[in-house]
Amino acid sequence: MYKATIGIEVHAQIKTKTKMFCGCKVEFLGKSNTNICPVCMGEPGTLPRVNKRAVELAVRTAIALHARINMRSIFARKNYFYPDLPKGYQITQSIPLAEGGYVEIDTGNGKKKIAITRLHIEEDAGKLFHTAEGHSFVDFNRSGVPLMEIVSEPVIKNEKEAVAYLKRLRQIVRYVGSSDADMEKGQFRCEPNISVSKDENRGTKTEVKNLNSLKAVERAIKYEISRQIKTIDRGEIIIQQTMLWDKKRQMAIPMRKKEGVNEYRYFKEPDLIPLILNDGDIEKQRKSIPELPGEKFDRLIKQYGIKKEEAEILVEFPYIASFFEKSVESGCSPKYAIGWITTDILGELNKAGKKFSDIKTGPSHLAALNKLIDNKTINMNIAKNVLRSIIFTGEDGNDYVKANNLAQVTDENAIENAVKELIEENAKEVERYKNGEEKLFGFFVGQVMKKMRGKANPGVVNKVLKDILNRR
Amino acid sequence: MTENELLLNGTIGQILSAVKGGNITVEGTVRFFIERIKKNNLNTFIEIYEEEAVKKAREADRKVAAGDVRGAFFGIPFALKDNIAVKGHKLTCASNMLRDYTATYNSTVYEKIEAEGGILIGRTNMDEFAMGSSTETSFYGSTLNPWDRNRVPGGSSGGSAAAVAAREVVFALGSDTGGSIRQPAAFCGVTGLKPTYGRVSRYGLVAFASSLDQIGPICRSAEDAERVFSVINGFDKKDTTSKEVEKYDFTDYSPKKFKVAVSNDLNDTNLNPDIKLSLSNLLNDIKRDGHNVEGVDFDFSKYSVPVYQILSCSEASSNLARYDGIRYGYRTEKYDSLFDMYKKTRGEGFGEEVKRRILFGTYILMAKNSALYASSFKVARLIRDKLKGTFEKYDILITPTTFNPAFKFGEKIDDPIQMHHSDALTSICNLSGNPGISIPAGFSREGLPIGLQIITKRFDEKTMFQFAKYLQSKSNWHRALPEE
Ligand SMILES: [Zn+2]
Repeated sequence: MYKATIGIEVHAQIKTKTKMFCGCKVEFLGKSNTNICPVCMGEPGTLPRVNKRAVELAVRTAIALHARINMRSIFARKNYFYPDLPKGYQITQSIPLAEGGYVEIDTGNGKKKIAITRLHIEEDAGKLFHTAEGHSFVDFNRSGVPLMEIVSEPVIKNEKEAVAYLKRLRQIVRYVGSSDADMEKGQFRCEPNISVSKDENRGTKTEVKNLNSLKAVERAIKYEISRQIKTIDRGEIIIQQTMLWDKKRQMAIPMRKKEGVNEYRYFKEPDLIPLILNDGDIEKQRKSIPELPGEKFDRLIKQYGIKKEEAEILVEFPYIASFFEKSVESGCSPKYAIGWITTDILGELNKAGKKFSDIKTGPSHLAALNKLIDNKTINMNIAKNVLRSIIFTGEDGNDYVKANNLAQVTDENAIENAVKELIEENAKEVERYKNGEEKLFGFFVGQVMKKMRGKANPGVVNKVLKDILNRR
Repeated sequence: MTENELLLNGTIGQILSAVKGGNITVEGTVRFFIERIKKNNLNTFIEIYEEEAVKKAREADRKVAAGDVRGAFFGIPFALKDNIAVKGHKLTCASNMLRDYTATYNSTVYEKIEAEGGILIGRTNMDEFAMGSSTETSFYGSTLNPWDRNRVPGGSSGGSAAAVAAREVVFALGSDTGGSIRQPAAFCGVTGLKPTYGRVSRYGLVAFASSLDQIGPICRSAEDAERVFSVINGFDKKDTTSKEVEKYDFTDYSPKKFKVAVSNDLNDTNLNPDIKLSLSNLLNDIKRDGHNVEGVDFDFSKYSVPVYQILSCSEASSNLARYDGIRYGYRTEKYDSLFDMYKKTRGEGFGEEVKRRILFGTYILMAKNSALYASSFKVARLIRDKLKGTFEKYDILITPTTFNPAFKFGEKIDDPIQMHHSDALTSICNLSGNPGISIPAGFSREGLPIGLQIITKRFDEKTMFQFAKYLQSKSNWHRALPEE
């Protein structure tokens, strides 16, 4: 039986206004080579200077990862030649900003702590573009953009754990405000390294790059595990290499080897002094760390009795969580609120292709609907219909119910009439029911509701229906 | 003093007073020096900014007429080594690689001198990327030593030192990584300072070895060097390796008794006998003046050369990686792949010595040689500690600046090991971060200048200048001029 072992390197773009070592603006999709200066272009004689905000945000992240922060970290140079790397080296760290720590995930089968090896600060490279005519262009707008590299220990067992880890990590950096972590914008780049083995020894690992979504990470890991197992079963050996995920073909392709890529000649960056932190700097950040995703997940379940999957949605989308919690605060029951939000509101948004911020109903609308149910003005089905109708108008639920004459009918006479009508129209079914086919009762309820345009009080319908059927 | 005497041997202060008093014009001063550069023809300058300098001089003269004279260097012509950036001017490092490169920003030192009214005359010749001890590795050909045109001016700041020695400019800036200011200053008979590491901003100095490089003045006297140092020193937020210490200010000389240590190198059998004699005489003079002079067992110069080579080349191999033909500088004509372009561009753009050092540094930084790199750091640390110990007991450490006076062209250029030994006595200061100054201390029997090196505690340039000014108050070596 093969076991897979996975470690993941994540490069998260630190959310700063300016670059890591100069004052240039950080901007996604700016006009090529407009956010550049002598420093990030590697002009002769220029020197880097550290962006303090980037350090603060990296410290916040380290705190949220429960990592041990090094009071003295050291910048280093990673040397290699490539056109998108202006200085011929990348500034990274040899003694990282933080070491250790963990991210707790829910495996669906209990909790698991994914250990973190280290978190360090580094700078991004520019971007290369190749034209059909065979020309290459470099855009240096991204050159020098601050990154945090977060490396996990190889303790991840499968693609599901990997996705759970990445999801939680992405939530963490977003919660502490250190990264927007938009994978499509390349702000959260994941590079898993994967190996398989039949025993305790770790097999030869391969690294997969070019993963632009969690779906891609999941598929690539699954693909690579199965490819490695098949390779070994054929009696071949695994080659240690970097693979590129091909989204179209849904497979990982070995990357063309860059020359001289193996010898990075790391050494201490002599243009920068050690990065010294003090307890005050760290405490200042610690004090303003918000509730973290793992804590929130546990609390939502405990406080509101909602399901794990529901809590997961709220943790992933804090603005939805806030909407949910405000609804409950306004008097809506958690059970109704979570159902309406996750099924009706999100369903409707999905159908309309709109965003959560597009909705016009607020938490108070949900509380009001809840009240209409409680005082038996409407039933749950009507409530859902009302909600779906007012999502993008923000109309008051009460007004809508009145205007559309949706208040439920509890008048037993009206319901009796409908039931009698039904019995006359469905003599055969009534006969079958009488003969023991009890499941037809549900059918009768549905028919009565239909006759009453859904407005009948379901409790009264049940009662009247049972009475009349039994009387016959 | 005649105008001629003033311009040839006056101090910055004296020339400044003459300008302020309207005794001489700035334009006349600027033209005087530019004419000398042309007439001497020592290949000291890679480019003279004649038009621009004259224009600035006229503006300055108008200010004099309007009584609006401000700045420590008002109207004083100066030169910059061609590895210090001035926006809009070429910055070549005397390399084919950068012969067409124009700086897009100003170095901090240039802005400071400009703000004090200094008039930039041009950029001076140097060893390519400051790698060399003779200015022979320059893409633009060697600078000649004004004392003997068959000899090297030293290097790498050979153009700056020779220009000051030949009185083609009032002062010049150089850069010193292993002795590149002090060794040419010694060879040319002028005063050259390598400040404490971190005291002068490196922003705008094209890096050779970042942890060793310092910009410093090359001047006619210690007094002038102190004036220039007072202006260019100070913390710069653009250079985080510059130190946040109190800014240095010029201090008048006030006599005191110094505790002087003399290094063992004075007894080294390799030391040129004329240098030994000159320095011994000088030390006797010092003793006679009542200063405490003692020899110290200090021969780390034995280790300084290999350690210096390892550390400086390692950093250089990385610092020079940016010259890849992509964004600026030289690019080869024909290539068939990216890496072919890199190889040809760098192969053709760099000279022999630069390539030798890049290769050596690249080799040292390879993972398998990390022990060598690490132990070099340890030795540098030991040198620093040893110096620290010395300065607990002494104010001053004296060494010869070089083992020999200026050598002949071609004598060492094909023998890199010999050439690298020129740095033995100076590179100690770069490895330890201490300041060092070379001042003229006599002449050899061939009439070549001899240099004396004064080293003090880190950030104690004050004691260094006091001692240097004391020596120059009782000798005239620094006023001697080469024959024309
Ligand atoms: Zn920039």
